[in-house]
Amino acid sequence: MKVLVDTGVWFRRYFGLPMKPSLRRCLEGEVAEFHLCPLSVAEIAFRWRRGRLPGVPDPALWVEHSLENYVAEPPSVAVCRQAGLWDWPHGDLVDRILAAIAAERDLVLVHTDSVLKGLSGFPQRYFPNVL
Amino acid sequence: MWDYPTVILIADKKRRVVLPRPAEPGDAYECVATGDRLILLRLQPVTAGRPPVAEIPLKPTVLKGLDLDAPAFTPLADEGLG
Repeated sequence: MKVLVDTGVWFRRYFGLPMKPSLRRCLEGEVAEFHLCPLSVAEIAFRWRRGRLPGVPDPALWVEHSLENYVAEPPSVAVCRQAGLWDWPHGDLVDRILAAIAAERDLVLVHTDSVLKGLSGFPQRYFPNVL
Repeated sequence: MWDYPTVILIADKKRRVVLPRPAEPGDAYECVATGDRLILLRLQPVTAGRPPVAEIPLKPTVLKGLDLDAPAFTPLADEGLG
């Protein structure tokens, strides 16, 4: 299975943070290719810069390492168009772009977002969070 | 072929069979059905090319009060589509 990992899943996996056993099994046993949108890096860097990730090292020290063996999935014009056109009330632009990337490139978006769970139009697998 | 001669596998009431060696417990197979033939292809474990993890994991308390699923950036205006 080729998956687009959302920001929280990428972060939790890299830092060994708690996740549902079902999510861990999926990541370690079912995933053949890991893909990540660079906007996930922006989300984490943004939170860190504003002090919302206390205890997390400077992203300059770990992001490059964490991205090894991920396929980068930057948004294309078509993806951005679709991200704007989703007929959803959900206004998180990063979520809308991740969903559009998954749809355009036939990747399963693996996430823990209960809002995304209720939306359709893209391949996804939802796992509840543990914390 | 000499090491692993042809064997006959008989399915039980639940259509289960026991595979001979070199099959091992936990092996995963792709089963391809073509007419009367069932071809089992052993799947290689997915180990190569996996993303790394941090040498020093973070304490779970890092997540206290943090919702990584919430928008990092201010969400777009929530006005209706008109």
